[in-house]
Amino acid sequence: MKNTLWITAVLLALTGMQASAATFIVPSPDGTAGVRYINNEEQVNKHEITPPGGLFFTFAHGPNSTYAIFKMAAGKARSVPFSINRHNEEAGTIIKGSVLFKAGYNGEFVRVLRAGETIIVPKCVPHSGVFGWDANEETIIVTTFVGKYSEYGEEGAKKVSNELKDKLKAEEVVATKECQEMQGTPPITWTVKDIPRP
Amino acid sequence: MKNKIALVALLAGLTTLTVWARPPLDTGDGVGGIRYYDSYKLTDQREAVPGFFFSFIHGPNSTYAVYKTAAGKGRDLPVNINRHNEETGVVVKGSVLFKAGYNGEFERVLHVGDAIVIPACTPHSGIFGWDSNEETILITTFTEKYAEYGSDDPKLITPEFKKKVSNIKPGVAIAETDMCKNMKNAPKVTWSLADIPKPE
Repeated sequence: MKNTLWITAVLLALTGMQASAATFIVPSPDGTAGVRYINNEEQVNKHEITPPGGLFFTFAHGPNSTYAIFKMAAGKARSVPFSINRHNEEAGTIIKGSVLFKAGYNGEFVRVLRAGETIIVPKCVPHSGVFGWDANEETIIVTTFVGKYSEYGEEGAKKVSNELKDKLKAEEVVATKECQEMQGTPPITWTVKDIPRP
Repeated sequence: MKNKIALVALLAGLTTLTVWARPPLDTGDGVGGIRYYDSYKLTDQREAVPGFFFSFIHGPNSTYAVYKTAAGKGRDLPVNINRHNEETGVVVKGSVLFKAGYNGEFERVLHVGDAIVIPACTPHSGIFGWDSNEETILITTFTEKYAEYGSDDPKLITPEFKKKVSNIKPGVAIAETDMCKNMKNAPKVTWSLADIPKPE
């Protein structure tokens, strides 16, 4: 009798657990059906780039795109150096904080972007900026590159790609091979020193 | 002499006004090929169907779009199963029950900060405001120009968009681009809107 009661109790408990699991709508692992899932905050927080420190960066490749997250810590954002970048077409949105964004072959686009603001940067158009522009506050940007950004390397790699390292040297221009070889582009008439400082 | 003073004063005034009117950090939309977009402000101006706001902007080879559902409206929004070019989406407010895959095998509630990358033509749909029918905003980038959306003139709502959110017929409702319709060797879509869970 004792055994029967005990087994019944275990079965009831298991049934309850199953019902609970069945109604919990997060059963699919990452990558099911080719769909990639990323938790921005959780995943980016695991990837601090040092040096310089204060920059958290992670990304996921789609078949023909790369989705990336850049997060700059409060108090550090302004001091994260960024070279002038040239790469494939990109749509970036500010999720938190502020960015002084400068772009164009003559650096003719200058604007402070804040949460909810987006820019689309055509392929190879030079751009750079200062994060945490308003108050050196935490700043998060999510961005999608059109075309796989293969220079970033494999996802989840512990080693930071040379492409990103180069960007953080604040050298004048860091360009992908495709942009370096692009024919007929105008000369870039500005440098990182022309970026306004807060 | 009086005239000279007046002229100088006028010029000084005009110079001040010109400087004031041209803040150094705002050079406008489109300069240098860059497209600038205020996602929330512009989306609020474009109510595609009652309670559902939608706006977008094209890049040379991409389209950035914003979808917003008003509080109390998201769950009632009929979103067909979609198939189109590769897309990355991020929830920036609220929640979305997102279902995707040819067999509907990816199913997950996405909250603020959650992102998904959907390969070209992979079927997907969902319910906005899943948690409590709250205001929900999803931003998304299509990694090719979504030409079927037409001009990014904010006054237009294209048939392509309308078919995504209307004429729901469970079992047959797939809103797909010609590219996806004509895609060779794609598996069959084995699920329908009826298979999307409903919030309690």
